[in-house]
Amino acid sequence: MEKDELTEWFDEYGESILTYILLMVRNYQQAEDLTQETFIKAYRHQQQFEHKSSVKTWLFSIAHNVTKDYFRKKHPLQHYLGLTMEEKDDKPMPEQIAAMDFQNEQLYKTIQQLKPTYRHVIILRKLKEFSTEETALVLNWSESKVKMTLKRALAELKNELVKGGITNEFLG
Amino acid sequence: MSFLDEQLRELEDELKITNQSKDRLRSEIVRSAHEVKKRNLSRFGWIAAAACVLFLITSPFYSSTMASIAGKILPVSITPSSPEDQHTIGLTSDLFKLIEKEGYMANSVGVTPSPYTIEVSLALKDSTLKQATDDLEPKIMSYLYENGYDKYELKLTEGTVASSDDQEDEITLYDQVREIVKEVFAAYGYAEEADFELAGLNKTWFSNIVTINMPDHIKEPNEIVSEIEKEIDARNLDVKDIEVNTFNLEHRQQDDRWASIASDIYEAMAGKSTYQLTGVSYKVKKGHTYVSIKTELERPPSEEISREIELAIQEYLALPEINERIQNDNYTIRLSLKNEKPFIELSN
Repeated sequence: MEKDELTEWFDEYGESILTYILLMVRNYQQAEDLTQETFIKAYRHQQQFEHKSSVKTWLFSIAHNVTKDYFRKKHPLQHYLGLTMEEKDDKPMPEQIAAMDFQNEQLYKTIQQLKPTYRHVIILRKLKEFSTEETALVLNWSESKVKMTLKRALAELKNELVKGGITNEFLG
Repeated sequence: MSFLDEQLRELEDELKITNQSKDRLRSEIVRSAHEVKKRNLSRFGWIAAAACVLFLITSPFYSSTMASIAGKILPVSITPSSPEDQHTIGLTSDLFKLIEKEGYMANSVGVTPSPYTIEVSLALKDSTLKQATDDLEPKIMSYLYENGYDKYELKLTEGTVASSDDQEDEITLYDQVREIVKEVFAAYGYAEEADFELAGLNKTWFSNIVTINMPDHIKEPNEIVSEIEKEIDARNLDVKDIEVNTFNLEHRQQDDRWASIASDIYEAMAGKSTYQLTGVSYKVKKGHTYVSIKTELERPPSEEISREIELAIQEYLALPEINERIQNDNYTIRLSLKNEKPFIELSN
């Protein structure tokens, strides 16, 4: 991959990958670092890309692995942090994110409160609009697991939105 | 398409990064990619650089005395790690980055006290452990030297990657149990408690045992356990038994708050001969947190160093995020000599 190609790939998928990682790690600076790591890995391991999937799926697989590694590499004394991960936070939106309407901001915050597997599958299937097959490739899951987890994840998301004050009828 | 689907699609359309941030990130990526290329092209250059580092650390000009002086000059800086976003900063995460920058992959980077040992387990594909050690050791030692570490052992080993299939199964069962526990606690009106990790899973030869950590203020522990049991049966999960452990939630919360604080303070001074730390521990007793940092020092360090340590701890504790984490906890932070006599004690 030449540098021009790297720039092209960033222009096409960079923002989408960054927002995927951001919804996962919930920290803008960290999301930027991991996005950078994703593209550098793609640049380094370009020969390993076998074109069995689209460039987008391949880049998201790398982003998924980079994010997974980030969670795995936690400091040993901070294992307990898993406990606080689920805590609600009312952090303001990162200033690097363009302003969005209230409803979307609520949805953004609610997705961030879901457990990681639910977040992964909702973001990839519903936001990034990957097919079940592509999502399975990115997450290295079976297609049935993608379908099953998505069903549960959407139910949980609805549940959380209702708890946050959005009515059931409105969600359909 | 449901309303929720539409809303999610709309969120994706609206979730945009400002152009300025995008441009900056693009330039960063291109610059880093350029550096990677340069590094690959100049392999011989790196060998020369590594040789220089080796020369530096084996040369008579480098000695533990010199490092101690450097340690004294280097101010203690305690960097807070953030529990909310799991953003880890510090030695282990820096080493992960350094190793990756050198084109290798680490399975884990661990630090154990007494003697302060940094153990790096590498996932090696195309190179031998010897080659990786030759490449990485000088870089790691150089990083450690620059950051004031001068009293440590470094071990590089080759690790194996655990089978992801097994992990996946365990995670799936654990996730399901965790979900049930969370739901049942929330259904009994303990939504806040449910946000804590109240479920555990012990694998046995034949089946699995679920452990429930039951906060001691819960009024319906038996009903909750029986409801969880019913739900596990209904979902036909491979669980043989449920064990219940009782704990005090406030105590646990305070304990959690201080784990990272104790670690931050220890990390700022460990591996540096000036401070000679041998370990850190903390406990919460009757609402009071005691952090104990032990050293191998025979006698108290100079007044200058003691003041430096005290000041660094006070500045760290005064940081808004740390203040917020401490809440109203009473605490005592003690640094003690080899004979266990404290030479620094800070409390509120």
